[in-house]
Amino acid sequence: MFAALAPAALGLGILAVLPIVIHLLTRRRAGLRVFPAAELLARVEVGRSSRRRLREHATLALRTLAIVAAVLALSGLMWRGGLLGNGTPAVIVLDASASMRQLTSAGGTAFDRARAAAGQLAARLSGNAVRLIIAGQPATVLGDATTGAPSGAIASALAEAQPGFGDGDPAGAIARAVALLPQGGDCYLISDLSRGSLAGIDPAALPPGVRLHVVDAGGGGDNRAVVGLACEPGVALAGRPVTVSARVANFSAASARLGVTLRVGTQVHLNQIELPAGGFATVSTTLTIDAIGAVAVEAELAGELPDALPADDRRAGRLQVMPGLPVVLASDADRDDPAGVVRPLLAALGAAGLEVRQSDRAGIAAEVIAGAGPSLLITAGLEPGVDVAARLGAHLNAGGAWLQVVASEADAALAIPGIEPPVRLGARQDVSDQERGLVTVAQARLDHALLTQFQGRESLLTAVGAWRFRLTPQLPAADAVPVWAYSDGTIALAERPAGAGRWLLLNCSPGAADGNLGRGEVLPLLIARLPAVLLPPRDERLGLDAGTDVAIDVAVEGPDGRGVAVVDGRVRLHHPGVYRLVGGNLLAAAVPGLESDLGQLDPQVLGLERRSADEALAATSSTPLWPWLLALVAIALTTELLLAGGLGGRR
Amino acid sequence: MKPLAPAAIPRLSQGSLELAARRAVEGLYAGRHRSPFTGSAVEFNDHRPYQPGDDLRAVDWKAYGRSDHLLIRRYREERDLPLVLVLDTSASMDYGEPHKGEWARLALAALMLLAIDQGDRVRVVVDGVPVTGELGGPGALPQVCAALDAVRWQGRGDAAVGAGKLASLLTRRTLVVFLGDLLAEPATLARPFGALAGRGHELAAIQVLDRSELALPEAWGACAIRDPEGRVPDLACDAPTAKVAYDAAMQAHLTALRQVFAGCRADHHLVATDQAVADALGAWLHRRRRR
Repeated sequence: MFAALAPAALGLGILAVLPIVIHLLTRRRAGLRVFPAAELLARVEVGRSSRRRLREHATLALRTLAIVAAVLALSGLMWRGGLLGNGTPAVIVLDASASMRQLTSAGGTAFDRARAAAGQLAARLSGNAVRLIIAGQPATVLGDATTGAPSGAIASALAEAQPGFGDGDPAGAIARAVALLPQGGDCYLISDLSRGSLAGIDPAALPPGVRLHVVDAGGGGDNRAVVGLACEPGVALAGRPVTVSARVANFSAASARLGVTLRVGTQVHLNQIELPAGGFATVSTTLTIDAIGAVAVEAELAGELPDALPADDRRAGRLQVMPGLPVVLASDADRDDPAGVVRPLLAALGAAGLEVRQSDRAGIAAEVIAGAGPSLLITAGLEPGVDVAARLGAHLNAGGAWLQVVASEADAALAIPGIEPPVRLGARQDVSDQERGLVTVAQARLDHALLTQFQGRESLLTAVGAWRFRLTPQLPAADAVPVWAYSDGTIALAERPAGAGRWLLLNCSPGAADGNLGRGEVLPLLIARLPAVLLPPRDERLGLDAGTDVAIDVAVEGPDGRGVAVVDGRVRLHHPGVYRLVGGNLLAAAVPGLESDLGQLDPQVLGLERRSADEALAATSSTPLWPWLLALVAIALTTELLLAGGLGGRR
Repeated sequence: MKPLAPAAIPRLSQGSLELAARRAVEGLYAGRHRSPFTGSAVEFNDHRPYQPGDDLRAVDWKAYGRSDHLLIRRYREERDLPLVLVLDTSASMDYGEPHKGEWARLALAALMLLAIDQGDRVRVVVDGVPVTGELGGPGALPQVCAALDAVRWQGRGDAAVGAGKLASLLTRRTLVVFLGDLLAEPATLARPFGALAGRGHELAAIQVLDRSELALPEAWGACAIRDPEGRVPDLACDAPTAKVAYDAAMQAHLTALRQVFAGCRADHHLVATDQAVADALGAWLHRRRRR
């Protein structure tokens, strides 16, 4: 079977008529002449005219052949058939992310197109070992590699497959595909090529023998979406004003006038906005909520304009209204030690008006889980361990803030795999034997949100010093913001975004034995600023991505009012919307914001070609014919030249 | 086709050829000039006085020795040799510019006039069939012209067949002049013309061809060729590429024709239609007179 990589080039085949037209236009017109000596002429012309006719026809045929062969070579003609391509194992990865729900101009969704392309591929690859992976959350492997005709199983699997509302897992799906191709083979990723569809994919990392082909099934239609919900402050406190905002995006080439409905609990706010092409806007409302507990938040677009992805026109979130900011102080140090690190911290927290729950290594896990929302975690004198690191990582990834007070070797050893600290701590510097010299703070970023209250009172900061415990030298992370530094340049306080939250590292123990930080008014002022600085409003804080698995051990009612199955203590939030838990708590899921931008990526940034199913097939289990076709062109032209110079040249 | 009236040949009747011809005819009758149509028979008849221009070979030198006057020998046969003009009227003559057939018809009329002027008896034969009786005298020319007017250029001319018919037609020694293109295969002409010559007839052939027949014009380019007599089917021809071979074939044809006529002791004279009739006939007559 023949296939072409660039079928459009076949349109150039019309050039094949060129030599015929030229021949017809330029051939000598055979006007009829009566000639008495025709008999004499016939004796000398018979053989000659037949040779000439043969030469003309041969020349015409060769020129036409050369053009046809050149056009076919340009179109990337491939031979694909059982003889050459049979037996190559293949995996078809079908993107099932939310963006695949986009409506295409041809009717139906991108997923429908992808499904058709997958079916086409499976049918064409019949005879090969073919498997199908639905790249949803998580990736699902379908099809039977052991049967000789897997297309039937794949066809039925395709018929049942549906796109999710989440972001899919293209990298995970490709990894699974690679695992299914231990001897190499072809992997076809059928996707709409929207923003998230190639995330995490590294073609260079594919094992030898595995070829990745990207099949375009998208349409890139106009879309408008609610891409984020947020509240400010990050922690909604009962009786305190809170601003709820929805971020709306216009992913189309034309401006749009949209109505945005913002619902917070029972309160409804209507807004009209004008969104330029490719623009974003934030719609917000400020209100005070007195009731403590979970409140449903929802933003919805209304408009007459066509919209390619209706699923993201509505976004749900959950606002947890708290009586106060949850602050956890985790420490294994002696809390009654007057020279220890815990007492000055508790004093500062109290002075800042923050209620604090105390915990230790054993209890930190429960504290992190119980938080289930934004919270401030302070560790000081905490013993390290794998479980502690994991809980700290989960806390940051959930958007929490962590103040790491380095007051001991154990504190310095706290590390979270996969998350870089604000500064890498070096060796301990004990200056207690150096004439009990005080190393004071000499540099500070007074424009930093943590220190703005010290503007005009810099002497408070420069009085802060350490004499027994500090760690130096230190290497700050690339995105870390140093806030304080000692006179020798050692960083005393630095912060950076980590996970979904923030990590503040204080290389200045407030313990009385270590320095004077715990004595003055600097620490309470600093602690008082922590909630506002470390827990800023953040997108996606109010809801989870659709498709997320949540550990829940109570009955759950889905957005449609039906019960959701709890499997092994976990619930998957398949659909966007608000989920109600027995006991009054809420969960919310929404289409990931990245899925709303339907603009297509160019897979060439990864060194991959964007192809149709036919093109991908032609490029894989097939043999390129263009070298042969070019050789044919050369042979045809050479022969034509020889004919012209031989038969044609002798008159 | 234009009718051939006597007025159509003014050049022949008024030009240098007519003058020469009339002189010859007058000389023949008045004993001053020798007719170009005199035969080569040898039965002596009488003498006539020498006139400037006479062939010195015809001078009777013995009589000069006896009488001290230059005298020209005259033979009995010279006056008695009738002339038969044979015109090829096949379709192949309907060709060319100037028109081959018209040229030949004009030439025939001119010869006719010339012969009649000198008192010869003439018959015109077309395709082996006499279209006139034996004519002579001033009133003969209009009669011949009327007969020639009726000629149509059509059919397949076959000089061999025509010569064969003519052989049975002629009962006494005759000068036969053929006017045609003689494009037939020369070998086919050898036998009938040889038969005519064998019966004592004197033969002459004036081969009339268009220039394009003598040398294939390259300007024709690629064309389709049709034989007016339908002997060969239409054929495609690329004149530039065929020219060399055709021209060579034509020369070979002419050479073969000359050989055939030489074998019959016949006079072969090739003319192109772009030659003036008077010039062409004059040249032929001049050559013939010098034989």
